[in-house]
Amino acid sequence: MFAEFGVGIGKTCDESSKKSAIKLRRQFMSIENYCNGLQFGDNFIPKEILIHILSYLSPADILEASMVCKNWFNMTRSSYMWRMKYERLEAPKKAKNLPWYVYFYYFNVDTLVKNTNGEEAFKHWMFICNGGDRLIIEHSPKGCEPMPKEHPDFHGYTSCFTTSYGMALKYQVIELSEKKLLQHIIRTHHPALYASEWFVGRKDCSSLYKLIVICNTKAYKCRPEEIYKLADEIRGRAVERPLPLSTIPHKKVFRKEIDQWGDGIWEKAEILYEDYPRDVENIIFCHYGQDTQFWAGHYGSKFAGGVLKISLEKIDPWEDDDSKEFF
Amino acid sequence: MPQIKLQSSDGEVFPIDVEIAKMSTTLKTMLEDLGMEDDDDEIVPLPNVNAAILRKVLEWCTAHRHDPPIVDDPNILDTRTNNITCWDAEFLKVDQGTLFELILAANYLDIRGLLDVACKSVATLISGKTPEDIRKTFNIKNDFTPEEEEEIRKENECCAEK
Repeated sequence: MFAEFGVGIGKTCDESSKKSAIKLRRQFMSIENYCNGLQFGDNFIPKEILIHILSYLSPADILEASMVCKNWFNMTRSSYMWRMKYERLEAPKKAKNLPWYVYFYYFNVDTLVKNTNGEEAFKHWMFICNGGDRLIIEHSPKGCEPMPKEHPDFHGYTSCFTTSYGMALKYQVIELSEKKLLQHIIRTHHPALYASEWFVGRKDCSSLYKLIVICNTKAYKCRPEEIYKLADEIRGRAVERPLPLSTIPHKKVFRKEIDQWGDGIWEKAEILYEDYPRDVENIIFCHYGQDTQFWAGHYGSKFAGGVLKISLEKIDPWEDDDSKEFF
Repeated sequence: MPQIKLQSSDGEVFPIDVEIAKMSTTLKTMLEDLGMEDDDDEIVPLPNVNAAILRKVLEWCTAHRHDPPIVDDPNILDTRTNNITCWDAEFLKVDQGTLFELILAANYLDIRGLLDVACKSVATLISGKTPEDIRKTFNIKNDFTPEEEEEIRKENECCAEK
């Protein structure tokens, strides 16, 4: 499709640029047009080098660069450039042959969950229950080691959600109908969903923490009361019981019982959800915590820095089929 | 310390330590393949690099001669981020033409560290600019039709949705 705009930088680049839906007008390429965007003063810069340069830009800057001229458009829409970026940033992971926009989405959206450190109080969060002395936001978490606040998951914040003796369970819903590109990527490539969150218990009190990812389909949409039921069944001190089978079919759960007199070091809960339904309509990021010694005040688990995003490690390979075009 | 001589495209000869020459993968391979290491009188011609640029390249190599080799290790932040060290930032305060010539020379000589940092430096010239600003900076012609431009703008907007 774009072969007439230049020699390309090899097979992989040509293959990917033809996947872009924008059909640039066929035209005779004069030498001047052919070199446009590649000629800098007296120096002709090969596309391989320009792609190397462009791969250092942020996703937003790359979109701006795509509008400069045809040569730059083709380079920024090449899978080759995005794979170079991925392999540099995620080494030693190997980049797969995926359309440029899958990589773009991966780098552009760090997390689908908002307000993950309580920096905007409880904005965006829906409570299923908020018992005991209620969930609070602690600006410098007490009773535990300091947060690893330089970690990018915290976005520079040092606050966290802290639970009490009553169960606190809250969630955010990500509606795919409002996220067209994500929806397309999930339907076409089915990347694994990755969820994570940092949590800790006070050294002086045992507590419980859970991270739950639920995928709802048209056929089955769980209601918040059912999430409540799921949490309710595991409440209390009968912690050796295995997780009860719930009526929610598509979910992944991370669960941690934190012992009293522990080291109070922040840990990262991680969920990699691979076998979720392809026709998922919304994704629920849900977390839960409480203390398990029933002490007045806020002695329960603490959490912050939640992440929900796509993982490119487990993803269906590119099917070379134009009917699956996104745009 | 063994030395070799490099000759720039405009005829200037630079005697340099073999250790520094070997920071260029191109020269390293050549020295090893040709077994030239012991032969002090041999002159290596570099027809693609002029004396001014070669001097700059050698200056960079001399300053970085004790750098650990670049490996794809996610824990070594320098290769991952857009950070440029102070020394390199000062070194790369050159006009656009020189910067691109340095890139071409680093690419030809295969000096990965220099190529990476010079490419990052060009990226900082692009970053945060509008397409029109970028065209002005690098003297690029807008070769899209208004319809194409509009279509790309729409596609970009659609992608940028978070």
